[in-house]
Amino acid sequence: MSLARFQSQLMRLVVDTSFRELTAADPAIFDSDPFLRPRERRRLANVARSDGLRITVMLHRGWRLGKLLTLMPGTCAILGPDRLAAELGAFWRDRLPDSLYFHDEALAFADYVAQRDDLMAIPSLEGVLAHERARLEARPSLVTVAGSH
Amino acid sequence: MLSVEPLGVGLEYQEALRDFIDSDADAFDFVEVIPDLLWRDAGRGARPRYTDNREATGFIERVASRKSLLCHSIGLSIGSAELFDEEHVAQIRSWWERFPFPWHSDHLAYQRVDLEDRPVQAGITLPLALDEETLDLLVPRIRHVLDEIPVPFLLENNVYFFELPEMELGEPEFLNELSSRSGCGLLLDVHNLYVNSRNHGIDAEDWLSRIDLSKVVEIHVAGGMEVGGFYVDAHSGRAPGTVWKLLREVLANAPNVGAIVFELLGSWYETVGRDGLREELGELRNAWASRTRRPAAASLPATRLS
Repeated sequence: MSLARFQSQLMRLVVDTSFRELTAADPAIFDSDPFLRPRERRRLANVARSDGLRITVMLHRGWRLGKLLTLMPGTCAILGPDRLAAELGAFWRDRLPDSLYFHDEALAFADYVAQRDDLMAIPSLEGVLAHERARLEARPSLVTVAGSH
Repeated sequence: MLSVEPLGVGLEYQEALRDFIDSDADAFDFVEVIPDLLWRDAGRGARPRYTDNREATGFIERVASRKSLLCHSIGLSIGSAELFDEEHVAQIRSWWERFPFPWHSDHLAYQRVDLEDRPVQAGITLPLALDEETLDLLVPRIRHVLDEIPVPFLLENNVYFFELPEMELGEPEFLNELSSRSGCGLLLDVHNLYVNSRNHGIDAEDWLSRIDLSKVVEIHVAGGMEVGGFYVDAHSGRAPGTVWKLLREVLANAPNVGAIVFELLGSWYETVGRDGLREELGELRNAWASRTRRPAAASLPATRLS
């Protein structure tokens, strides 16, 4: 249980923005975790304050972004880098990645964009989004874009 | 005991490299496939769980008709404490029956956990704590893989960007113990070693002097880039000079190496170019030709020693 808890907390440091913010606000957060052994608490505290975590998060987010850019290039291009970064930040905050495969995540992002009136008002976005969504729904087996290693 | 017949120089399959694989087949001896790229996985418990990408698999079938294939998976997450994905092992087994690769490999890491009963996937390999507890976790899993797929199974040394303090074993000692206790072989990624040596000040020569090189069956070579003050394993170009030096050192001292593979992410092919990729594979060929010849019978166990 302890090792599993350690790995889960380490994973959350990488993939969960809210959890990272929590640990930044309270660096001693791991000290009160009864499911961790002392050495695991020290290890997590060390990772939480390391520069290496920053680059690991960057690589993780790059992996996630890269797959959406591949599956929904038109939508991403129309949103533009700044808007895309802001919207993905909000989208990812509520949705942790659950698979090496991004078909479902791309469809969920399409729903997220479609439900936003302010985004759908951007010229040509509605049509491009509908086209890319239809492609995803029609050919799911062709979008087997697993992660890199 | 089965011998590991040398395959030579390989190229990792990427969709963007298809034209190169077709037109420049003289530049490599075999193709290494990440099988997870060729199917869609609906997740544990789903029925059907795996769906082939028929178009990509069709290409691989054509390649397999004229070249050997190796299988290098990214999906096992063998170090995940709470779960061991036997369905993934069975899927690799079915691939072995379809494409009878002489050995296969995955990563010594974890990338998947369950949080509140929901799967979470990092998409990148997270480091394991190099402790006895982790060895106890991994050894029976490796034995399961060896029992299910009766060819050698290799694990690859990982890259990491943060350190876990107070580990009980150094990385070479951990790899030695793991291989000795479980019967797995090692996939030594010399670029990963280079990445870790740059980011963490590890002495790569010392690292190599401590590892049991007789367990190394395959070597990976790649290039990377500087990002945010770190050097990352991006597979983004040509291999640095130090990586070539490390490769030659390993080849001179590792008697059971059966293959060396160049890894290039498809999105960087345009940057490296056809000529550049041919030059990298040519360098691999030169290194392969200079390797230490081993005795005819390899000493690596193909399945676990019982």
